[in-house]
Amino acid sequence: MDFRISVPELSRALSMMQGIVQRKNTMPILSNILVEAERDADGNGRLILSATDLDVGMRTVRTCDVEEAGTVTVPARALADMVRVLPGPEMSVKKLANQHVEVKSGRTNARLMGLSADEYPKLPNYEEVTFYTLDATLFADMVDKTLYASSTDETRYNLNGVLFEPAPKQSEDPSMLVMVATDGHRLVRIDRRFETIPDGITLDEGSVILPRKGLGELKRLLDVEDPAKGGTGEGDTLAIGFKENHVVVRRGNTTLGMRLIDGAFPDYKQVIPTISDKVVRIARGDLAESLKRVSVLAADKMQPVKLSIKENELTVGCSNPDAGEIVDDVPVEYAGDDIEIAFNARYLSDALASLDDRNVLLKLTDNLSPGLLVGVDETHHLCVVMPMRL
Amino acid sequence: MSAPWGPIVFHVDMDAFYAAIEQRDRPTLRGQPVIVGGLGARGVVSTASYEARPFGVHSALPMYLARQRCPQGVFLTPRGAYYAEVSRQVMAIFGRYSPTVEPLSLDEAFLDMTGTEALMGPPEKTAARLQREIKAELDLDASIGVASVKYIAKVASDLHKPRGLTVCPPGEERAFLAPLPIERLWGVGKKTAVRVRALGLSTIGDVAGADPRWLESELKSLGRHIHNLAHGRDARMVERGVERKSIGAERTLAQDVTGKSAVLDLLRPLADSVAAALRKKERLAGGVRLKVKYADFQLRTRDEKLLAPVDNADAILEVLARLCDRTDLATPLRLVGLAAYDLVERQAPQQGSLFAPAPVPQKRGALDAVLDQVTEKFGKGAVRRASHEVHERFGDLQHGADRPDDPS
Repeated sequence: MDFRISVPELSRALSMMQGIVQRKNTMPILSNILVEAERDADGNGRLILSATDLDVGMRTVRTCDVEEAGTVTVPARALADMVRVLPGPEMSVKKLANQHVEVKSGRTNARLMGLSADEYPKLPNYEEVTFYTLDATLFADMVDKTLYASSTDETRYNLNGVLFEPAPKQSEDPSMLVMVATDGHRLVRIDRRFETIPDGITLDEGSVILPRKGLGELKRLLDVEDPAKGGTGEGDTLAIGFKENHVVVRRGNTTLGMRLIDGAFPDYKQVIPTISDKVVRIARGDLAESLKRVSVLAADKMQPVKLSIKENELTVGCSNPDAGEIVDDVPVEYAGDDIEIAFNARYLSDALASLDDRNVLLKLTDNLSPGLLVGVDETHHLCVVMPMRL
Repeated sequence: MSAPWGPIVFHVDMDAFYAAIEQRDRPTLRGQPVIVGGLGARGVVSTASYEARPFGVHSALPMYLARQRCPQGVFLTPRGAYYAEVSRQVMAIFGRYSPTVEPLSLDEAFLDMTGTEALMGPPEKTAARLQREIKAELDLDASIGVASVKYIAKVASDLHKPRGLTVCPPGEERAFLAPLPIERLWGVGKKTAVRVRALGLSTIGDVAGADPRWLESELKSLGRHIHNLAHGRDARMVERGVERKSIGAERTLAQDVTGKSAVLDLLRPLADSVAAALRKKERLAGGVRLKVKYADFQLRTRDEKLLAPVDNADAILEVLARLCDRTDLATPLRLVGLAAYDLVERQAPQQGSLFAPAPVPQKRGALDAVLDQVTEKFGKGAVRRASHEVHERFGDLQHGADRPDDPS
């Protein structure tokens, strides 16, 4: 194996894969990256890089000059760190005996200890997958607005991801896609229409759970392959497909596959409040600022803050027996009965940060039932937060 | 008639704790010199039974010397985890007498008994009842010192071992201490004792009668310290033991078991006791851990964090059932156990859960409360699950106390 490639080109590709190879792994070879250099019939060379942690795998193709085809695996971290500081503009990579790999650029000459490509696990083949084209920005925004609410507690693996639920084919608008995430204490549901799929997406199971860690990689991929930023993608689109227990996302020359979470997502529809008689209208920024101020006195990671709501009056308060207490008044529009309710400040702040509207509605039933936060003009993005009992 | 009690401190010291447990569990060892400790070349004696002491065997003695001095002794390696379990049972009894128990080690603790006379009667009677209760429930002896301060209580408990009950009534502290040798002063070891004796002081009474300024000039801060002690002045309060991070229970099995249903049957009574302990401490568990040890001593744990913290056995068992599904139970097990962790105060703010079932139904909560009261009054095992009863009959389980006595 012997090829030449542009240093920045390879550096971008490698940085996209770091998240996958850097995870702790029991198999040493998984911290390596699979490097395959090949030439087609016309003599055009291409470099294929693959990384996997067995749950999430990424494969990207770059053009390069191939002197001699071949394959090897090299330590991903060392290669990426080295490429980042190589003088460039080009570099050559050559496999020597004993899986050693020689890297040369300008006056720099290095040798990396590789491992045989034969030992590298085979990535699933996504050739026969049906792909749907989606607006990449819109899709990424949905992920942004849901991923934060998913659970990081690995013992709750069915919540370690985002529910992806295409509207049924027979529905009014099959081009709608729904995403839902919850950690059991708060929940977010968002739906968006995708013009590119007038007939919708059909899934055997009706819905799937996209894994949290894979979605992190997806964001990186969409960013690096954004054509506006020099990536290989075409326009503002991505392709998504499903195969057995995998979801595949492709943008430009890069394909990301991830194993779906095999678990039952809780019945989220039943916890979204439908009738809330107490509706408070608040400027989103005002409440966010107030929460920031008030929660400085919160005792621990659970940051209980109390909202006392009266006619056109909201007082956000926090009291901590060890530190003191603080109250903060927020102008609101409210005409219902007085109510006092406590929330984890972070849950409210996260929800507020994910909403786009200038003004939001906080809809409450009583101080033990979930509260609903929505934008004034936006009905397709709901944040549900369970209150705290003080 | 002595002065009325102000502060009351008990120091309870279990007699030859490890050795006594061994003798209790193996009746053939009763009356024999039992020596528990490291049996290796450099081992030392942890505890010697009272039968071994006439031979000059005491704790901290090198084991080879113990063997020389008492060749007919029964030498045993300590069963640490088991002693700790028995210690928990002992401490649990202390807990019935005082909310403020300060354990010093597995086998001794201070109890703050201030203000208990009206409720429990004179301290010496209460102490005697505590001794009887420990004997009846655990078949173990304890010596108790009763005094107005920690220091004297500790000295007192050691004066008449075993089964000693020594009271230093209020106002008589100085007289009580006076005849004792200076080595009984806290902070006076062998080397210091030589220095103090050189000053012409051999009893605590001598120290009490000495001029404190002279003592201080001779012995620096130690001088003031021992002068205070000699007068029975010890300002230290009984402090509650460190907050526990988890509450657990486990059982080493007489015979290896396999299979989820057998394991859950064994866990049920353990979950009951953990849940009761949680309620007693007014704590809720935010997580539940399953612990199993395989026949080859490999230990495995599995845990789950809960959406809403719990303090009842059924909820804990529900989680344990899920954890069992994630654990290899086909391989023979020699121990099963559980722990409740991520403890939060019951009164602390609680994050509600979107999906967890509503908090414990009122009925169940009320039943738990009644069970706790019965257990409080009649002791552990007075009321048990029927399922537990079945197993008892088949001899799968053994409890420390067969029939706890009614505390009278």
